[in-house]
Amino acid sequence: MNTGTQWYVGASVAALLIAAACTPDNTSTNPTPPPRFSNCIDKPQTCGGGGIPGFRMTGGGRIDPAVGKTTFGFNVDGRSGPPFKGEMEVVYHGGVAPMTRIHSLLIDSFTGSTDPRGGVCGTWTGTARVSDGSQRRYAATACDNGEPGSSPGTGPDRFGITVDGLGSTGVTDLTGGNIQAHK
Amino acid sequence: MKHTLSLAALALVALAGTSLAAQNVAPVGGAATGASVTLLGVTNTAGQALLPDTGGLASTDVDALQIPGQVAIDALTSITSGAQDQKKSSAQSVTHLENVNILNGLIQASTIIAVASSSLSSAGATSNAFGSSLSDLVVNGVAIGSGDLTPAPNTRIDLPGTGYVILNEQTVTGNGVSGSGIVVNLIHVVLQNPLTHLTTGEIIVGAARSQVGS
Repeated sequence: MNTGTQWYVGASVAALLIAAACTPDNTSTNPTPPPRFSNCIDKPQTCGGGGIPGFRMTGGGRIDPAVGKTTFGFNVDGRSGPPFKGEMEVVYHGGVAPMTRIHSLLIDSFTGSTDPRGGVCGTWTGTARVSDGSQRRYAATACDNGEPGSSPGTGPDRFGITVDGLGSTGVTDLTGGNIQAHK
Repeated sequence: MKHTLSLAALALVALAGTSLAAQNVAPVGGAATGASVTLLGVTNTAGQALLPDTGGLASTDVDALQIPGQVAIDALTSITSGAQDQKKSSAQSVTHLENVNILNGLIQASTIIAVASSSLSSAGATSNAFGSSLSDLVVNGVAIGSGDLTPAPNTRIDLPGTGYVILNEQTVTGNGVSGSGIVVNLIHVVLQNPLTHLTTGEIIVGAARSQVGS
């Protein structure tokens, strides 16, 4: 059992920004949509109400944040809610601790923004089931910066997740896999 | 009457357009599999997630997997996802395994991550296995590298008296224009009769497959 692993130890500044600015409500499990973000990780002026209209995002692969290995997959329809249709599973595996699994139960917000690399980002929040038996709020961000997603010299795409009470991977370059935004 | 005919004609055009659009959407496929063991022609598969050909997400979690005498894995998660539309499609599969022991310690690894990714856009179709790795790999009592390791594709190591193992086995399919696919088997043990060298079975651990287009 993994209790209280602090992913954000040694994580990037982006992780702290996500935790501070893009997690609107870390305590409630109420499915009521949380407030729109007033700012966001990369381009504050494009988040929240002034953001990109909803779109679908799909992706999967691997990131290697400062601490631990993380694999993930998701399929989220940002046009369908709230609550939004879709699903996400993330596996975090750091050090000698057993793997921690995070599986979305609810997606109650979705916001589009632009990535400074020229791509499109989607940030969604909701409630997830964690493998320690708890249910927690999360915020995930994925950025599509082109194909094939994790090649050196192209993009790369990015992914990150923050889970209330567990920590954050930071929005991190993919080392494998791909993310696609579908408008 | 004239209006009725016009409406009917419009409906036919719309239907034809819908049909053509559907034909232009490339199919996707994917699978992520923790382990499969084939002995005496019978295959047992564990921890497999299969992607529907219309896309979406599928995942499977397994704890304390035991195939007696063949494979033991403390925990694994298999995830496959994909989406299709007229402009671009993708499929990606990931299998993440923790503390793997094959054939009673003949092959061991602390972490195995298999990644297969395929995408299709106006630039063409491509597949890769970036992100695939084995950690703290030991084969036949010998440590292979240290920490995270990505062996060269299709690296073969003999296992005297047992057969051989192929590490990071990769098979790429498709023409790179209208379709592409890849199968990644991070550990593929081929069991052989020690006298005849005939294949008697196989063990695959950490497998990922992705496919877009045709």
